[in-house]
Amino acid sequence: MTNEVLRVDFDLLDRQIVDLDGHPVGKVDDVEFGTTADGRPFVAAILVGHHALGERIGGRLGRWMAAVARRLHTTGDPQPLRIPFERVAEIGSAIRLDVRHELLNTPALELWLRDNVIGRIPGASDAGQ
Amino acid sequence: MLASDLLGRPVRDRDGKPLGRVADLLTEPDEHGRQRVVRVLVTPRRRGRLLGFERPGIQRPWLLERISSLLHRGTREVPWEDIDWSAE
Amino acid sequence: MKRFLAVTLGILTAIGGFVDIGDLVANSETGARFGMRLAWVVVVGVIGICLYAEMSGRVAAVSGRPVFDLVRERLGARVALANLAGSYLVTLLTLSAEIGGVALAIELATSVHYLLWVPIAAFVLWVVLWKVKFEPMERVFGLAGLALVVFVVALIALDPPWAQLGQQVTSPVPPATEDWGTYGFFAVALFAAAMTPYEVFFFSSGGVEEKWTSRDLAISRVNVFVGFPLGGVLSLAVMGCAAVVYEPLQAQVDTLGQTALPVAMALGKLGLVVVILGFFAATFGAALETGLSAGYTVAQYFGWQWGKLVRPRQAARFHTVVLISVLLGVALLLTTADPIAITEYSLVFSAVALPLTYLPILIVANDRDYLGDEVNSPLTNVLGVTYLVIILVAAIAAVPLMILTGMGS
Repeated sequence: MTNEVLRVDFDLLDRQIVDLDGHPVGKVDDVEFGTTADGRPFVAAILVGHHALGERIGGRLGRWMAAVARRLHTTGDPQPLRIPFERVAEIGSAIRLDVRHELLNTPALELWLRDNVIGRIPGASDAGQ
Repeated sequence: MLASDLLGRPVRDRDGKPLGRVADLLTEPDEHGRQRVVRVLVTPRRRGRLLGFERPGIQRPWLLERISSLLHRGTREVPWEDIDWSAE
Repeated sequence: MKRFLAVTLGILTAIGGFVDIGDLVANSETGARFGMRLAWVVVVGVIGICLYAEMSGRVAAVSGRPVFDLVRERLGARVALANLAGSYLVTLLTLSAEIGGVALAIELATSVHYLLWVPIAAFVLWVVLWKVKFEPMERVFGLAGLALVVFVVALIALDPPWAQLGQQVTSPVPPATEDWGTYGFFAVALFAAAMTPYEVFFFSSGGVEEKWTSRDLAISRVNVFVGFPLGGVLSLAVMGCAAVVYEPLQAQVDTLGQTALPVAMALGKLGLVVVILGFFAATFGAALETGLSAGYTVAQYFGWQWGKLVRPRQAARFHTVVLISVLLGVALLLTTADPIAITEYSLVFSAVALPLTYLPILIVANDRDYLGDEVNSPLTNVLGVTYLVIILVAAIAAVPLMILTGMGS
């Protein structure tokens, strides 16, 4: 960052989130604010999830995306992945966290496809190339 | 409260004069290190994304910056305390 | 020495990788109908793809962000979603066309109907995407694609009336048999064939996967500035061969066999073998690139784990999109839709989708927060903005020209 000011829309929303080692975690789909004692909002957490994204986009397309996300969600309630802002180590061309992605909840869609589609194909666990 | 609840909302100043829509929220760290919203970027007309040209010192390519600043004429930062969010 | 070899291989790969089914179809069709009167468009397109690929390669190397990641970051979730829908559909159409091209190339070699080869080609394609390492995959098909140099040899062997071809190059107006509408339509198609978005999705994502840094910029630039123009020379040779053989006869080119015929006329059976090998390698290589690019666009929009560096089960959503895309591409071909027609549509819509993919890269390539001192030079910006205008004109003109001329017929 070139200065102290953080722009919620420009610097946070829609930016790629990566973990400690640079693995993609998701995009910033929305930002959650807390409120200070004097009533000002402060950045409390970044939210990741297709449902949150759909709600933010709004309109017919956004509602449709949110509905699909809800449908694809196998465990019921599609809560977004909530990453407390304290876990953000650096904001640059990507938002780098100070944790490894294994410690965060894996999105339901990824888990489902891993267990039911990709994981069943021979060679799915072969080392990366 | 979510960013998506605030961004894009039409707002007024304390005298009830319309300021336009919220284009961005600018935060600065307080004594606890929390990023508090200190200023609000408002833009009088809905004319698409600001594309990053709203930041100071970002001025190239020249022609695109000119077009962007012409389309978003009147875009300015207003202190948080001067914004009336109740406006519809 | 090793470094020298890497650069040479990169250049050779870029030459072979530049030409795909779109270039083969568009260049030989235009050659047959317009002679060399549209050759200038290939030059304009090659300069454009050099500029675009260099910028996106530089952004990928310095900031680590591939193209579609930046599309959403700069255009916002909503506009980028519309762009994703468009870009994904264009990439899917192109993937389908390339698989069709592979099958047509095998039909040329075996005389067995191409539809029988489509499922087989697609299955082999998917296995390669699933199993084979990135670099050998790119190298093998890029190098084999160099077989298309046979078009240059054939053009010289045909001993064409060079003066007449040269005169056509310098008179950029439609011939008496054509009007400005078809001239414009084929200009847009040729431009889109040279400046395909998937090439840049693939190039920048590959750069991120190979962990380019600022130190790799020189290699990336040499590859782009030598490889793509030489690939453009192959395109012009394809056009030239069609111009020499078909234009005097007023014959239209609408099969891949007709594209190959001038080579067979000039060089006999051996030439035909080489040209079929070249078709196969070029379309198969491009099918690999478009298959991956379909996955890249979706995964990078949503911020998923993508790419071939991790185990497939760690990028389950990405691999699912790639798999579904290959299946959809096959399904489109199995409706017996003509692969050449699919190619033509993919070129038109690719021209329409280009501006919103190009603009974010042009802007980010100027952003010091991302690139530090590696931002665009003033000259690059003059060219960059000029091309933004050209790309916009092509995008606006594409669909009206398609309707007015009935796909140029």
